[in-house]
Amino acid sequence: MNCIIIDDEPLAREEMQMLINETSDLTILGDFSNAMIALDFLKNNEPDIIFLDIEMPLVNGLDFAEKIPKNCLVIFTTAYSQYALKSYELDAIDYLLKPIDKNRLEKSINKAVLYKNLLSNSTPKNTLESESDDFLFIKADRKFYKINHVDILFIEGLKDYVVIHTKSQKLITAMNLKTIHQKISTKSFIRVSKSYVVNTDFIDSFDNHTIFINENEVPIGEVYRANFISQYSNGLLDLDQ
Amino acid sequence: MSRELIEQREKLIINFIIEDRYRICRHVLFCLVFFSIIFFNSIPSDQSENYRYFMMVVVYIVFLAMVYVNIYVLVPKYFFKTRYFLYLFYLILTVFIGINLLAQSIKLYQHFFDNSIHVYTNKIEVRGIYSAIVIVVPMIMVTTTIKLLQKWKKDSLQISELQTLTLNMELNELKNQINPHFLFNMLNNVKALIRKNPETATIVIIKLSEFLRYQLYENNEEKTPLNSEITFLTNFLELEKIRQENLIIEIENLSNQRQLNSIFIPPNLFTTFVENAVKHSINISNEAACIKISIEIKNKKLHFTCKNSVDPNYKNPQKNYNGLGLPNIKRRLDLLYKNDYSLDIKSTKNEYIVNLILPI
Repeated sequence: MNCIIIDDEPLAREEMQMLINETSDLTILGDFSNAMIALDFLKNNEPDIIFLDIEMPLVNGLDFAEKIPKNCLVIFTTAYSQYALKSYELDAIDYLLKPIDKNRLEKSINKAVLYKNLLSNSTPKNTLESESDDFLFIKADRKFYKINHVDILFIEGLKDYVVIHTKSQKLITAMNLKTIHQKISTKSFIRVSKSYVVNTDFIDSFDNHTIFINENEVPIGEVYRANFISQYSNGLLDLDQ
Repeated sequence: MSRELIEQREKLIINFIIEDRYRICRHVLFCLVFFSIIFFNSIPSDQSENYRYFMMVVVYIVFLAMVYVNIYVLVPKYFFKTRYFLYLFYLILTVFIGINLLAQSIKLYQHFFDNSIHVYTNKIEVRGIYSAIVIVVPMIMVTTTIKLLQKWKKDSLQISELQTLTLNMELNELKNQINPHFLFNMLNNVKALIRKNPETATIVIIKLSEFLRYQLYENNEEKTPLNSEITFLTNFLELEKIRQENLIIEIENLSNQRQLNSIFIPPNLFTTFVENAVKHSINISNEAACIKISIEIKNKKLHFTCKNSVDPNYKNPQKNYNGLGLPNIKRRLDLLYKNDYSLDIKSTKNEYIVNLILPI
């Protein structure tokens, strides 16, 4: 699996290279000081992961993220914390704050590798085969998986796929988040951001920005926050409490 | 529970005395109370019914006039402007005129309507004056106190508002001083340097500390030696040089050290210009960008020049890149020097030049 680094600061790029080499087996195809040069590179190459800075001259990382090929997964690396929510709207795998912690980087690379594998191993035509009131069938690797609604922790939208997280496994299927949410009509499923639907029965705790489910952290989208909080608490909690 | 109730009642009373919306209520209540005091008081019963009513009305009107003259003319005009002796003088004068008016009106009444009470005139006047003072002095004191209370409450409200305003302004200023983005990127660079080149890392940490110390402490002083300002700019640019690949910096200063230490200027006057120079000197084809700063003292004037190269092919995506920096510094210069300074900004195809001349 390979990656590229885009950052306008030379030392930041070197640091990133060192960290990546220490924490993973990723091959670094190249590093670029601005997004325009990187776009040229992307015409003929397809890296799996892009480490992307946000505040850069010429083209800002957030704008750049919208132009890259579908199969590239993006991990933002930036000193700004205020872009975190926006970055999740762009289907980024993760959002790392500089200076970057090694363990944190390892975690997000693992996540990216996992998703990349899910995307490439399972036949892209992975589909939702049938659905009923309390379970659904997913076809993956030419096998059928039966998933009970009550076993689903949360569902994550990723590009043109959704990743269904259950207690025991992660399954990927070609579908958009809105459709699958409509099919699972159980009340306990709530949309909490552009790319997440959670099963409220498994929520351990939450704050204004994050929901914690079994060691997973799910970011809450600004637009969805008020609705989630009032629905989840049955109107007992208001925003800002 | 009962204490809460009492507190609540006290608050209600205070609000009733102070707030504008109870104003009419307050005045009506006052007039009624005042009237009842006069109604149940002071008029000798051995006089005719007509005389009693006449006295009541006249006393009421004159006293009311005195109280209102006091709270609406004398208190705001003299008392609030700390002219206490003048206030006392006019207050006594008002009371004196009021009582005389009373006496005159009694005489007029006798003259036109009723000659029978002529005999008692002297006696009535003495008793009248006595009871008039007994009533009017406490009335004036109470109303003056209320006026004072109102003013005190309004003033203290205004003062606390002003304090929060200044505090917020200072807070905003502080936020603007230290750019967290710069700081975190710098820390990230140091992290990279620690492994790659520990010696440079040490130098960078020291420069960064000096930079922070200046921003946190000297920035709040009214004036700072020109020398530390120059050191600060040098530190800032050298730190920027670590962040960028091809940045050439040149800082020229055409005065001797003694002169630099003896000149004091308000801190952070040049920072905005230097920051802008860094932002705008970006070269997209990775050729060298250049920033040149010169500081010179000529004829009791400080000449500051900041030049930076501009990449003609580079159009900044964020059009309002300058943000508030330039307007803010202009405003600050206006406040500090009025018309005594000159700021000249030239923008050519390849270069951007700022010329600032300050009196010292």
